[in-house]
Amino acid sequence: MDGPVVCNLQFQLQLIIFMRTDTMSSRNDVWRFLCSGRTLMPSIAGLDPAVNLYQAKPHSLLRISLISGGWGVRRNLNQMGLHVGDEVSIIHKAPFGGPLVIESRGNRVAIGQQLAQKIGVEVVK
Amino acid sequence: MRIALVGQPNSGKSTFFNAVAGYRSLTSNFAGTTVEYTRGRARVNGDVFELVDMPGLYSLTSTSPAEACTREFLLEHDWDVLIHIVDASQLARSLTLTLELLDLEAPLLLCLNMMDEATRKGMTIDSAALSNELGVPVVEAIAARGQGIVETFRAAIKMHRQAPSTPPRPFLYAPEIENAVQELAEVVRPGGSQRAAGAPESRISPGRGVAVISPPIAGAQRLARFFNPRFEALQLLQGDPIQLALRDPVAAQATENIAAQITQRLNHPPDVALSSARHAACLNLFERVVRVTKPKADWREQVDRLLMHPLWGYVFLAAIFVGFFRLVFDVGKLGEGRILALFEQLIAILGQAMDPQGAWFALAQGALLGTAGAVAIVLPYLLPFLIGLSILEDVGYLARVGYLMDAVMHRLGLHGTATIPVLLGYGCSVPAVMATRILPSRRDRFVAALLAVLVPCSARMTVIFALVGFYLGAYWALAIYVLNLGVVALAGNVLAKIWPEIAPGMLMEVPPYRRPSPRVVLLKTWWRLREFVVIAIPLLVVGSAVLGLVEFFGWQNAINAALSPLTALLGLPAAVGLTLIFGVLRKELSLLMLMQALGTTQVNSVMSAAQIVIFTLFVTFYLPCLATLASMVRELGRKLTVAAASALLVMAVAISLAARGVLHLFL
Repeated sequence: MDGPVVCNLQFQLQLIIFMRTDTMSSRNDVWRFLCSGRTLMPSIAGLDPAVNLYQAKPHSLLRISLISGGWGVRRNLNQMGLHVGDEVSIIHKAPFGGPLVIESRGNRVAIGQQLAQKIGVEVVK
Repeated sequence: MRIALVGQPNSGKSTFFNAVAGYRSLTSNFAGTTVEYTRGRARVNGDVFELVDMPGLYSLTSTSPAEACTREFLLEHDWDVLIHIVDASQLARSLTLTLELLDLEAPLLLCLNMMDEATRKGMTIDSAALSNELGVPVVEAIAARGQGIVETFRAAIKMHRQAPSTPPRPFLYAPEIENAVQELAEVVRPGGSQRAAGAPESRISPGRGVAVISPPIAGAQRLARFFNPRFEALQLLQGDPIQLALRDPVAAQATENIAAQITQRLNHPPDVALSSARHAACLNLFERVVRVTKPKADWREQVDRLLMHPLWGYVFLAAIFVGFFRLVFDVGKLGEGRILALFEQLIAILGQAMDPQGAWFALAQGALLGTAGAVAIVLPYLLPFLIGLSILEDVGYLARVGYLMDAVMHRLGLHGTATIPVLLGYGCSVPAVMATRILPSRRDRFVAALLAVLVPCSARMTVIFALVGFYLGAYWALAIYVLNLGVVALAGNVLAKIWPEIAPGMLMEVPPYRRPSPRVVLLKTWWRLREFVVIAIPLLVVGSAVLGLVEFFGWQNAINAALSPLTALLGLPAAVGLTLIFGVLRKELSLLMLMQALGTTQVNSVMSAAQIVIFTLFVTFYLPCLATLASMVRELGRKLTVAAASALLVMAVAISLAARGVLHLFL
């Protein structure tokens, strides 16, 4: 993992914000902001829009192929039992860009749009 | 002997706790309700032991306040046996935490709760085989029906008795990972071989504790016998690299080197590698010990198809909440009248017993009026509201509300989970502010609390209806209501711009519908009510007593004069100044005091229609009542409360001024 270059004032300001932010998820976002434009996460490159979870067809069997995003996003999804390679299907989809409810091995999880867009899937069936 | 309960949110830990340790813990069908850990003395078959119930956590690397609390307890306090309670119907996912707990190398008991749910899903679990595979005892239970609770604790006591119990073997990862972990463990071991003499001392102190995540604690508080370098190394590798770098540069450097090795060899950063390894191991384990047949048809599936439907879901949501508020309002009105009458009698008796002209009477009457406000005006609404809310929560409907409202709440810069505190605000701001605790970040808690106190609570609704509704008509009252909704939306939007939402969005378990247990509902209601009683009632009593004295000594003129710049700015009579102070104590008091201050019950004979509207608007939006402010300080801290209160005050003045400018066109 390449660390960011600690050299400019903006970085230091961001670092202060970072230290004062109290949740990991928000810190993670500041961290990503810090590293934007640098090669921090190999998987951060944009996904093919046709294959992110949010755009997949409901009720079809999908397999998670990629989780893009940093430490916090990976950790949160892993904790909910969602890992790369897992089979999931979309059970409900809320209107107006609302969340999805997905099922994986009998476990139901509601996932907001932004987060769902960070999950790459391939269609199994 | 001390037994600790640990488990994922919603796995039923608190049910176990409540069953043997009295009335101290909350259960819910909504993740993250228990925030602090609860201790109690328990007695099972004549054995007395201490029981600790902790907030649910998904993983030992978690960082939300509630989860951090659990980890801190596990790592820094003394306990003898750990019981991991899992939702058996979610076995594959839950076992990942079991594997992490095995790394503690301390006595562990696995309890498979909700076995009935697992059976319904067509799962047959061979717990003997599972026990064999994991090397820890496994007990089955259906805690909601009282089955298996005693057996679980007896097994735990037996484990403790068979001392010295051999600690369970930790779960071993692939050799590449284990080697790297060993290498790092050498570094973190106090006086580790890799640490050159004279190098800055790492802040990792002996203990089960991990400097990466928990703040450094004086060495004496940590328990040296728990120090486990392998566990420490694992936590370092899975922790947040940035946080580690900030806390302990030495350990960070070592971790980074080893993490780089792992990343190179396995093509994944260590947190992913470890988490995937555990996940794969659990799936494997699951395959070996569970037989899955076709699940029984479930009526709950059909219910969800309606309640989470893109159209009907919202229709039901509206119907359920309209019905709910209607019920709360009707029950509350019934109680309010009767209890108020009781207090009036009390004051009359007091007037006979004491000199009605004396300062003591003024003091006692003020205190009694304050108590009446809490007991007669707030409680009758709060009690049915909290009972209803607990039922909705335990049935599992609140999680669905969060799902349905997520898109709307995003416009306000929040996500679906924040719907609950904001909706609570329509009843009373105090529980609304308390409910913001379920939100993960300070920013979300602040925004949700601010919006929740902007929403008119039942007391402010009384003012709106009694003043504007009564003197100007129902449509004007409705207009104020609509204006309020607009202000809430605008405030949410503005806040979202100033302090953008940075959390990645909603990620929430959707629990199955469950039948709520009346005992748990009542316990939870009492638990929440207690916070209101403890925080709000003393403030109301003291505040009202002081105001009673202010009246007695005739200081109101001085106060009105002090507030005259404000009242003049808003174009209101100077006499209403004091009522605004009363309004901070209790919103509906400003209504009662208005009539007293103006010396008439015919408010429209003294104030113009425009003045009535402006007064109502100002009372609706300016400072929240004292009880709300107190709970805001508790949940958000003093600084953010002052910020929120000032913002509200500025907003109230701005809205009232705008109304003053516009109203003459209509009135």
